Amino acid sequence: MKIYRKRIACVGIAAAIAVLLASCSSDGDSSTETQESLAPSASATVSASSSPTAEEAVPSPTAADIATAPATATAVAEPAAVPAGGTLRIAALSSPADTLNPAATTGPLEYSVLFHIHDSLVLQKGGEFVLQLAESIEPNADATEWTITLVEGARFHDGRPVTAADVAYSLGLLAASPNFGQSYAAVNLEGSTIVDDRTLIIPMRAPRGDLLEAVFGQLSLIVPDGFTDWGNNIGSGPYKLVSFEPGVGALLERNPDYWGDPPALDTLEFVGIADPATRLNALRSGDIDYAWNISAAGAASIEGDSSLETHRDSGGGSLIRGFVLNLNTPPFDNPDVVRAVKLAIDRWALIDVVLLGNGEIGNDMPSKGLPGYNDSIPQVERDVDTARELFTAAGVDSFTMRAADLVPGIVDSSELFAQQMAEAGVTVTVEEADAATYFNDFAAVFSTPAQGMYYINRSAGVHMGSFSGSQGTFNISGYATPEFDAGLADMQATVNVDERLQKTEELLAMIHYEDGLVVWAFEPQINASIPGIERVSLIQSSPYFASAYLN
Amino acid sequence: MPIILRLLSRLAISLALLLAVSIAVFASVEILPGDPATTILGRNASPDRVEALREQLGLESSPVVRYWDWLKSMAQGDLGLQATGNRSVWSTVSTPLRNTAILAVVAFATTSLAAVGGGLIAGRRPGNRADRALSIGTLSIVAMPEFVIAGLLISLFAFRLDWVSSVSLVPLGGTPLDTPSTLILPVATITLVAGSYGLRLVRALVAEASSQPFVEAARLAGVRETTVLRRHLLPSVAAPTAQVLAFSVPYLIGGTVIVEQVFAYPGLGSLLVEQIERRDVTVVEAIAMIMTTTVIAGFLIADLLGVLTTRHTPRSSSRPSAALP
Repeated sequence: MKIYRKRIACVGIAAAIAVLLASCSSDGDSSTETQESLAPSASATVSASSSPTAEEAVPSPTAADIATAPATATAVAEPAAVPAGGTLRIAALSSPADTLNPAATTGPLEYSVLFHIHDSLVLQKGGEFVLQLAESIEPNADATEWTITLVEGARFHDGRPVTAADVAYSLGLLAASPNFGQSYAAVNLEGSTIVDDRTLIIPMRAPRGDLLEAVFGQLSLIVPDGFTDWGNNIGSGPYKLVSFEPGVGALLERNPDYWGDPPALDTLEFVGIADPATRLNALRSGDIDYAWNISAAGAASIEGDSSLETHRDSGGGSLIRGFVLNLNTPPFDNPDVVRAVKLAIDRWALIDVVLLGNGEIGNDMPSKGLPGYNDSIPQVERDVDTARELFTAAGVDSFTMRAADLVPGIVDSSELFAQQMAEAGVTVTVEEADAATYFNDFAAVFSTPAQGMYYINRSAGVHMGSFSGSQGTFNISGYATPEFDAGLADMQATVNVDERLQKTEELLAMIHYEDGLVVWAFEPQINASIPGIERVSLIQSSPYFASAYLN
Repeated sequence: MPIILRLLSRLAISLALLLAVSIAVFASVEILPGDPATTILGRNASPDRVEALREQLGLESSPVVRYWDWLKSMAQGDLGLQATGNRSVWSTVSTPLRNTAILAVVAFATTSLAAVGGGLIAGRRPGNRADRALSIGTLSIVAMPEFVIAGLLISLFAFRLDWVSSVSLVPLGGTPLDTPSTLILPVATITLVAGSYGLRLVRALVAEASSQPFVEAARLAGVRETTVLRRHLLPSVAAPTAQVLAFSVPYLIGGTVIVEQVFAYPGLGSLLVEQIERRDVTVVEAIAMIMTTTVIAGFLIADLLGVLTTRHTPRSSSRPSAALP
């Protein structure tokens, strides 16, 4: 099935137009002949266009990350005296239908632009959480109330100071949005109190010691109170918006009055290019300087080219590649069968074949490379003999795996998975599904015994909150033991950072041994650029150039 | 029938056709699995959240009611708001439309030139060396997928020779005409594809006309070849050729998705595909209406040309294929 239904739909619409148009032209033979001659070309073009959009909406910061980092982190100190000036041209996926409304946009380009125009309360920079517009974000003793204090001297591009009212309005926008409503559900914004211009007190609906990482760390862009003129955004960030055209790009210029560390580059030019191969072409022909997100095959093609560089980010920018076994459905309601699957797969073979070697091995837990990851658990090694014994003892000789290319490679990985299971004496039938509508039928996703899946690599706290436990809205493995639920609630309410990290590691150990999540790899995000662009960081998996300079 | 009456009846038919297309397109998007709410929510699409968002986006009412609302605002010249947000459809569609129009106009000119010029050269003396070369050349191009042609052009002209850019980036706030060189490769690709189709069809028309008795008679009478071409061949193939060219319009307006993707050209074709994926029926309808109107207009013009040419050159037929035994 895969994308065929979509193709059929596209072709169907094209055909509907074509058929009706044919009836319009009453001029006999020659026109019919021409119609037929041109039709194959038209339908071929429509059907061949699979969706880079779906593929790439992935690294968007919707799925930002959390971890458990110091709640009072401060801005990273940057060395002084870097070459100032210059223009950087960055290509990323953008759509003509996108917007610069932080609560509504889905475009990677738009997110990156927003992070440069607007400051956030908290940024997730690499694996760290860094306070930006907030001087401090502190909980009370039992994490039922948080106090946000803003930095002094921050001003919007129109000269107005940034105040607590702006923060309350901005967080309210996010809380009301479909994309972030879920993560802001614990925050009782209606009950918040503006103490003074720089101080906001927000009560929680349930104790949340991890508010900074799990909620603000996902997205906390601040816009002026009451602002709605998206496309002419006014922020307080290091760059000002000069112009924005959805699908085409955005032009940003340095904010000379920036309250924080002054940015070095004069101009950032964002260019919308939908196709990853085209982004790489544009980089090769010198039309851009930085291509955000290229394919592993594309990266391999420029390996020997000294005029270009590739950058791999394996922390918060990477994808979790895995299979999800539903613990509530046979045969995976038997823990031995789950264990057998984990032992039978050849993770390195999957990485080499499906990801062209571009991946780090997974150990059946999320969040590798991020705070709270449990490094002390030994890596699961392949053991086909034990797996075969476990399958035989459980009487399992076949099951079905559902797979759709939600990101490229899921179907391939499922097929290779089937071959590997065959070596352990189990026949796996791969049932391909349509990627565009995969999540439309929620009931099917939740009742499928086994499916290929990907996740953005978020910090453990955020991942577990959404994807595990009885409160997880997308817990498709059904892992929700009372011990795990209690442990998760306890971890979320823990105010002390070190204690919370310790509890996170314990929860990950439970996931590793008991959950139906089989993580075989972490696939890094690959970006490419010309040489000499220094100090680019990744914010919520978007490239961030506020402290970048050209060498 | 007087031309004016014929034109009026055609206009009436065209309006009915637009209506029929709009219903077909609306229904097609409706029967696709999923809707804007589920595509926006993705993995967050738990049933209660889907319901809440549907309500927010006004998707609760029946498709008939929504179609009727759309039709009413359309009749007043209002394309409405995007189904997936509260942005106006016109603001989403206008820039890609302009870009596609620019590409289409330029490509139409070059395609016509290639199709007519090549068709005349090849069809004038069927079987000669030029004919065989052009026929084999166009057949090879027609057999090649567009992205291969585009890829070959890029690797040759952008990477190897470094004459032009590999992408057609439109400057912010500007138009593709601000950097005309970026149009070269997309136009070349489209011309090769559509021009090859057109050339083959025009060649067939010219070859047929070339063997007509009145053309042969003129040649036997010692009339100069350029005169034969101008006075006899060209008029007799003008109308069907215009139709051939008119038939390339749907391709130029909507079929250039691959070309747009390969060259990152921000046009209407990629927008259409993307919006079908997002199930945004109002944007899809707007694009479908624009494309259909353009195509109908193309056919009307072709028909009109046919009528006019037939009246002024009574000796020849506007349908050479029908005149053959």
